[in-house]
Amino acid sequence: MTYLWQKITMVMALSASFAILFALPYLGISAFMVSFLLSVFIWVTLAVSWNILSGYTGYFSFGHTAFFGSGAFASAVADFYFSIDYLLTIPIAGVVTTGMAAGLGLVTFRLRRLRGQLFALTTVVLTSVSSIVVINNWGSGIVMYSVKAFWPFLNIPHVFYTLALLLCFASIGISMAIYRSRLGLNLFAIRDDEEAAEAIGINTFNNKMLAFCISSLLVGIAGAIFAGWIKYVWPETVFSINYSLFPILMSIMGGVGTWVGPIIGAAILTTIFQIVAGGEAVLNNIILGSLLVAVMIFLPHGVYNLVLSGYRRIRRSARL
Amino acid sequence: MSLLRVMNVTKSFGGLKAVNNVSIEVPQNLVLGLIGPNGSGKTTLVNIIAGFYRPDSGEILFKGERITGLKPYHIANKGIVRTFQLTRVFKQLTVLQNLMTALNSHKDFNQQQVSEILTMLDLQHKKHVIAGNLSYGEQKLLEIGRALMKNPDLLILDEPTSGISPTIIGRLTRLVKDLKMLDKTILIIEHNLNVISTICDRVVVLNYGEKIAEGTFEEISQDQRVISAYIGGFTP
Repeated sequence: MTYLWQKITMVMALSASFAILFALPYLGISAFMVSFLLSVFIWVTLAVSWNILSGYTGYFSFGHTAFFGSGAFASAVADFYFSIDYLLTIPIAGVVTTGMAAGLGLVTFRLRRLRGQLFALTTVVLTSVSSIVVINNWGSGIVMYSVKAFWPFLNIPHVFYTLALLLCFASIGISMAIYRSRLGLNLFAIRDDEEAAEAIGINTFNNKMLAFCISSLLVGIAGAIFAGWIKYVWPETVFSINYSLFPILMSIMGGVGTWVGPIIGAAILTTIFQIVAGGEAVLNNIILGSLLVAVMIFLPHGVYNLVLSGYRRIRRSARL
Repeated sequence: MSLLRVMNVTKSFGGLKAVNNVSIEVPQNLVLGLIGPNGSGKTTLVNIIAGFYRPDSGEILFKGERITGLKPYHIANKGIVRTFQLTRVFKQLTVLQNLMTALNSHKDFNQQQVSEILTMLDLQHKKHVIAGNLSYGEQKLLEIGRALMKNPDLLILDEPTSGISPTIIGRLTRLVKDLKMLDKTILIIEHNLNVISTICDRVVVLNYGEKIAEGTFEEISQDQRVISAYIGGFTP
């Protein structure tokens, strides 16, 4: 299939998926299914955004919890204390988390000795610091009594479902666009050998900053949508370490470094958690730990690459 | 006219002077060899020129412009592209993708240039192969091809023949000769004196971080300091 046909097929498939998913709540599916799908959209966003930085550049981040929690609280604070229209709190949350990423990147991405494991450590520190700041100021949480909106958008049924769906597909589109672009090639070069990338003229600092900021922007917005949906933002909930660990597991399980892997991983894992653990937190963590080990041993390249290599093997043997 | 001027450059690591007050000039359209025993400072000097190390003192001028202290990507975009002693291709990318990383944007993609380089490297039939699956010698050639995609004014090759078979050495030597015919300016670090004697117009010899000789291969091979420090009784 030529590249153009591949592109057309991909766009048509994504558009059809979006249309079906958009229509589902209006076709009478249960409220539970609407909530379940909303959570899938949020997890896909988190996994895809994690992959944009960590999968494409190799800079492993544990900072998703910091961005998710900060995004949620930025939205809640702007809504509750400043009476800002909820829909405007969403970009505010994005700006806050992008600013956090930019600030951290300005320091860590310039220093050679902060590559690899040390970068991962600095993102853990960011998570600790941001959660402490939030706990010290809003430790008892924020109740978004009435999510204020000056426009009638919030009167639309399933509005948070729609917002989460839009964010999910926007994340997928951005990830796919980066994967096929010059930026993507630069990020893969950085992942494979950062010094060689610099030697060939790639501005590794700018490229990493861009990936980090895009990643954190998407997570911040996800946090804001989550806050508006549950209407009660509590540090222990939105700063849960699961928001860092689950996207990592989802991306690895699906196929880290590919644009489609995190989607597969997020969909599979969210379903597993719901079916097996029924959403129970302790059980979820047991499954998480076991799956992490199992995936590392048996599926190091992820489901997507496993399926792809199987498909290629079948095609090769069909040709012989 | 000198394309590159390295002036009184010194670099120490702790108490060790890896490069000590070295000055070299690389004229345009010349192939300059840089030889010396292991640990004589050749790769350190190249790392300084390419921006990976900042010299403790001294200056580097490229096309008359000061490049001392610039970042490596900046220097590469100014026209100095280097390869590494141990080959460093992007192992998870294909041969074609490796070449394309040298372009500033996809718009700069020139099918003819890519075809010419792949032909020069004899890798036309492997352009969609993952670079990590190539043999070591082919990876060496790919790394040079990637550097050539950038159309550098100065190409620095760091021990391009180390660790590869005589067949690939032959291909590589022919490649460098072809580049010489195209009036490329090349700085080549090598231990293989046959290669140096065949392709270099001039040779600089380092020992213990200092320049001890400079001249044609015939001239330096008769220099007593060079003989005792490095080449012994070598005859090409």
